[in-house]
Amino acid sequence: MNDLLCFRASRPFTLGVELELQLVDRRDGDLTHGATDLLRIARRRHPQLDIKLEITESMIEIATEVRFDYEGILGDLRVLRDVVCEAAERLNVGVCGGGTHPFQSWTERHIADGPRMRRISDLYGYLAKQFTVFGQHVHVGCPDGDAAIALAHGLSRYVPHFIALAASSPFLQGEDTAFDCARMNTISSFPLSGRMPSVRDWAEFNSYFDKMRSTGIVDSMKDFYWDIRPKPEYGTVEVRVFDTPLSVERAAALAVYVQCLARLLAASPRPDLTQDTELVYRFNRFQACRFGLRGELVDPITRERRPLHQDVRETIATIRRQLRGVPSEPLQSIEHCLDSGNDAAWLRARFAQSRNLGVVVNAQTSLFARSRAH
Amino acid sequence: VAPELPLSIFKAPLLSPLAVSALLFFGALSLAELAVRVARVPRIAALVLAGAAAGWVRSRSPAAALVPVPSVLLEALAMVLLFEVGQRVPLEWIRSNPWMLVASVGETGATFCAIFAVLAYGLGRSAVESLFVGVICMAASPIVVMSVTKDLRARGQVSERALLFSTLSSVYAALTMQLLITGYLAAAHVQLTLVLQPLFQLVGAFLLAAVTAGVLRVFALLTQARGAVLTVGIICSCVLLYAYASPLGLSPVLAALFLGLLVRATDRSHSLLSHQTSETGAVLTLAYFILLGASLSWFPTWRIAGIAAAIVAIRLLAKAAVNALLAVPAALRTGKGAMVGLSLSPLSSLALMFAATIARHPGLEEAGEISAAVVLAMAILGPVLTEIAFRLAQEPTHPLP
Repeated sequence: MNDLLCFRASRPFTLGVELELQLVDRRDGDLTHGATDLLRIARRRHPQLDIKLEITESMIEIATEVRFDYEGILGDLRVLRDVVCEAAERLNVGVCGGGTHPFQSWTERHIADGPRMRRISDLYGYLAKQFTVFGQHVHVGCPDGDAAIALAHGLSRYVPHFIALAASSPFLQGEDTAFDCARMNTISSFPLSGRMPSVRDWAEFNSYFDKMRSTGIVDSMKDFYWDIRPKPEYGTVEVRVFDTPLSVERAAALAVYVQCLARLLAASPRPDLTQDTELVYRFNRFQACRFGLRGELVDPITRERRPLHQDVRETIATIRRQLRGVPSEPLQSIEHCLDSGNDAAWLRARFAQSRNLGVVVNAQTSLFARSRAH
Repeated sequence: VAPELPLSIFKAPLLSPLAVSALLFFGALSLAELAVRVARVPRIAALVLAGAAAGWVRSRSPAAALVPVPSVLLEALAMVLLFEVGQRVPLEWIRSNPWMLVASVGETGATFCAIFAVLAYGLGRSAVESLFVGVICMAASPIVVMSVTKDLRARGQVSERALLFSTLSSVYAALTMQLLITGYLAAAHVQLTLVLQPLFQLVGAFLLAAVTAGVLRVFALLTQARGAVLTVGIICSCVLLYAYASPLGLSPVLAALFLGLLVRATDRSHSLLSHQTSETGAVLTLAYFILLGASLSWFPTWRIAGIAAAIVAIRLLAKAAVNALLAVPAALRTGKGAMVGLSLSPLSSLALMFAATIARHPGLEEAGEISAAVVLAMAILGPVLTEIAFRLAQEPTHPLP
């Protein structure tokens, strides 16, 4: 068995959150180059914080410590946000959430320095520059590889929930795409995106990985752009379908929602991996991307169609009924999102007021820095 | 009898001033584009060079000499471009990072001191001459910095800082120049008006800009104008500003900058922001730099050229060194600080206006010639150095031509 794929056990249901953030020009709202300069200031003042470069000079990634509860995740995210915003202010750069930049031109992006970034750029060509999209990744701790595979499959049923609740990418290249989450369409261009193959346990996954590596298709787990993937070196399952929300409060609430679902799934029987599951997976994913919370879901077992928002409400009710010790704030935040609309709706409302995408980006920047509930 | 051929067409005045103007402009534009395409000369430098060539033709040809260099047009175009500078300059940055102001004052002050020292102590020029030349050359041209930024679509710390610092240095230069000229005319008699001159300039230019901004807002509200109509409205406002500033004894440069700043501060819906005028803005930029080139005077003597070369060298050194020195406290790497300094090398119409102004005063003719010679060098070399600085900082988003 390959050393790289030794699954490092971690405490079940622990959480870690990564957010990819946009760096924008405060004058016109377009993406700007500033990641290296910003990182240098932030790291010099707070070397202990996890703030990294991403694929282009217009984005950075922040990551929390491993936490177990909502307060821990939210506290980390608020500290990271404050540090990044403070450093950005000294450079007169804006920082904001959102899954895509509304009007940036992908041809103007610079790939950041580094061997991995260069390899991605060489391999994927223009796709690498188009990959200037911004997501939230949520890691959930697992005791072993088998549990990770089971959790990854189990959570895939909720992928439409995740996409619709976090959707914040309605605009792309200066146009309203009619999608709530246009970011996923960009990721779908990559050959190893979508759903993880239907392996049944960690041994089967290792065998699959060995085949892929021996044929030269992949080098490491990082080359899989799946919606949900195991992360053996962290001992986690990583959910990658969230657009970066417009506030860190929403990001923390979504992370706790994933944690609750992981706890629910751990107490449930293993999911059925049939071809029908794959079939509805793609349809449901499309519905969530295109229509957000107004989309419909098809149940692969009962074959019923139902509104997505209703499915989320019933899931929240199940969480409240079956799990103990779940804080009320994150679930209320998600219900508030169901009532008042996701971030994509908020962005469209700002655009309807101003008819100017630069003004929309300024509003995003203010919201991220203030992080008032919306 | 065969009809007489209409030979009179050959006697028509084919070289009318209008035709010569158009031909010179057309020729300069073609030359500039060829220089960009074939020799890969940076566009702004190519335009100035081509304009300078047109100016040279004009000085040698009796037909072309018919055409007066339209300095009023050049200055009016500068007003429109300064309005755009005012809209772009990130003045609020000073509030979030006060070291930006320290760096700006430091680099402008050090440049002045270095030039003054070289002229007064190194080359033995009089203190008054050294003072005037130092003030003119301590500034950098925000119009050139903005135009190179737009041409390369540069984004990042070096281009943003260069725009802020060049604008602030122009403001310092405009205020100091007004103070110096008033003082020079008062022949060392200290008067209250002299002391209050900078304040009068600032308040007067601000009020005039506020009135013009109000007119522009009303125009935009009433007409709901966009695109070309809005651009023409903006041009009219800038020309009005230019027409009223000088008779009122105010600096048109400050007034145009204030107009841009005020419009930016009050235009929450971004309806007046300059990106809407980019097409027309590009045409104005072309015209501005060709006219600037045509307005440049060649070095009158080798001695003046030598003095200008010394000033160019010390000016570059001072700007690069002080920006590098103050970079770290202002939240930038030292190397990038030096690039900011390098990108502040251009001089253009503002310095040309100052040089022309002082040359009119008795006893300051040679100071005017020295300043004009430095402007000539930096109007051509400056855009090239700015582009080099932006490329070293990897800020252009446009691919190479």
